[in-house]
Amino acid sequence: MSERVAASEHLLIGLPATGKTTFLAALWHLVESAEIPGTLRLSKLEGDREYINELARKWQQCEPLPRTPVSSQSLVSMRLRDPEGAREIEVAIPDISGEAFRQQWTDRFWSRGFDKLVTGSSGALLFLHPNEIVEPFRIDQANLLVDAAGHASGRSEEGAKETVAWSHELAPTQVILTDVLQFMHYRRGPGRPMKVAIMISAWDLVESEGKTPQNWCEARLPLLLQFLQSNPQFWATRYYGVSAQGGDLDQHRDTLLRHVPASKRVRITGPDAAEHDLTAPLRWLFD
Amino acid sequence: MTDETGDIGCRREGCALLTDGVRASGYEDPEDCPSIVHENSQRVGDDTRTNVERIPEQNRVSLHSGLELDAETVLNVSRDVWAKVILIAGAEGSGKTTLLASLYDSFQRGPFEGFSFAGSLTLPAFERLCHLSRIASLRETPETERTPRGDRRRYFHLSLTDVSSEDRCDLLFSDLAGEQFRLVMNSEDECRKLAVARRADHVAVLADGQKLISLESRAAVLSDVRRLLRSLLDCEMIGGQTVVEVLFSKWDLVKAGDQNAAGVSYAERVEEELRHTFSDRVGNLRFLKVAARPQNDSVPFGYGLDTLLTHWARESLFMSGVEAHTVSPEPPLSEFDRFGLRYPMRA
Repeated sequence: MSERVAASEHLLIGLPATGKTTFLAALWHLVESAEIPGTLRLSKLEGDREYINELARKWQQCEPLPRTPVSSQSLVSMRLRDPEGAREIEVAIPDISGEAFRQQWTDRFWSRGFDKLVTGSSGALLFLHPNEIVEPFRIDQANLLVDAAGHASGRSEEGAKETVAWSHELAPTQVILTDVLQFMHYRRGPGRPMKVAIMISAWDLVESEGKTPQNWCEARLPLLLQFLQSNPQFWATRYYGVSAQGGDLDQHRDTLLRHVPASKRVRITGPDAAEHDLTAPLRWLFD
Repeated sequence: MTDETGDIGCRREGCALLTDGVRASGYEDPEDCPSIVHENSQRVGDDTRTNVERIPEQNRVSLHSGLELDAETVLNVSRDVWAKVILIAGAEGSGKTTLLASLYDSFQRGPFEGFSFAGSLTLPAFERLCHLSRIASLRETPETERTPRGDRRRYFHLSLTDVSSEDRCDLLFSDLAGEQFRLVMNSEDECRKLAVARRADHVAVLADGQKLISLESRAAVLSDVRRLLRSLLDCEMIGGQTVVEVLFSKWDLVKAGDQNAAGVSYAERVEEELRHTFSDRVGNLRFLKVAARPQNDSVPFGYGLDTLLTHWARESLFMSGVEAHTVSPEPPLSEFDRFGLRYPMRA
């Protein structure tokens, strides 16, 4: 007999095109189909499923998933149970546009509705995409690389030409995400710590580097990692590499479509995560 | 249900909003509910509306601005929490802002000299400070924006964790215009207006290395530093509670552009004279060579900042002489109070 466990809401955090919606679509397919033994599976259908069903359909057909509109807060609710049936968990995950997170950094406010989500959430999944990271490269570093490559460097005699004035939009990814997490920290207060699963999307693009997801994060987003590790009393973290789509749709669509069952397209690496078990981060957030 | 922003609904099964359109999950104002959706806008597709256009003003929760802090905030906060105040002083163009920008930038690549980045209430302000040295500016050579004269909001916050001890350390840095220090040198009244100096744990005075290698300007370097310290001491803005660091900035230029080591010799002379004049009037007097953003390869990026940071983060004579902190009963005055104080600055 199932033991009912209280419902929880989890935030999906991430800048645009970092794989949040793809994760949701693949997760829905995985829990609904129960194709992978040992993963959480759908216990009962809940609420309006039009939005997530449409996303899952596109995922199954290896179609590109549309970008989430900035004004959308589509809520995806799932009642899941573990394979042994020992417990049920009810998870609600709002699919929020990545642009909305960028605007929080730029505009320095968010809506009262989002504030309730932040203060009420049990945990968060923070998405990063290897191809969408803006790094804080300095001019002197770039010039050294150019010089080392044997070029006469791009420096012109008359100095700078067309330059760009500072704006929030130019900030490095790790700075934006750190400030967004700081917002959450301040709004929740020190007495309400938060678990955050760092999800590195399109892991297939970088797994040949031979790094663990945490090491990869340390190399590409060191400021964010320092921030999380320096505040262990507030942030509990785990790092996962995720290929929710399974590969590049443009290059490998036919191969991806041939996977039987389709859930085996999904790959994840991280603590307590079996190869295709996309529910592992959720289990950790809920524990 | 229709409101001024269009049809709204709720995706939660059983929500009363679906039937009576009045309450959503117990929220008096349906817009407060995190499950609320605007039916007209939830369709997947292009939507370029900004937060400013999308979220009505009354429905916004303000977050800290991330701008530079003002002096009043710094004084207020430093009374209540154990933040170390670092006054970075020096003449125009001596490298004060570049020093601060490079220090912040050092954490962009990982922990720095045993300290790990733990947060900042002024991240956008730091980012703007670094912009002209980043490739995002599309410049070919790095530059530093000139500090606006008379701007009182010129304080930055950096929170660090000492990796070995896991102690938390909060630093508040000034980035005031060189003209302001000129006024401090010239006028007792102006000197007394620099109230933050009295609270400073460290006063770092920059001696411009570029001027040290010029026969014409090197004497002015010594006299500027001497006048500034004398003004601050005579007005009792600094004293036995203050650690003073004299920083020979742009040391790469001194090293590389000085065939006869005349600049190095002159720096030694400056050190000797300042030590003789001031060492018994301040808590600690120290001399360091720095090159925050070298223009040649004689020293690495951030040369000397590692030692400097260690002193700033670990040493405070001011704090060792005051009572343990008490939180002010006065109402918060600024965003730093509102956001910073509920986020304990000392572990």
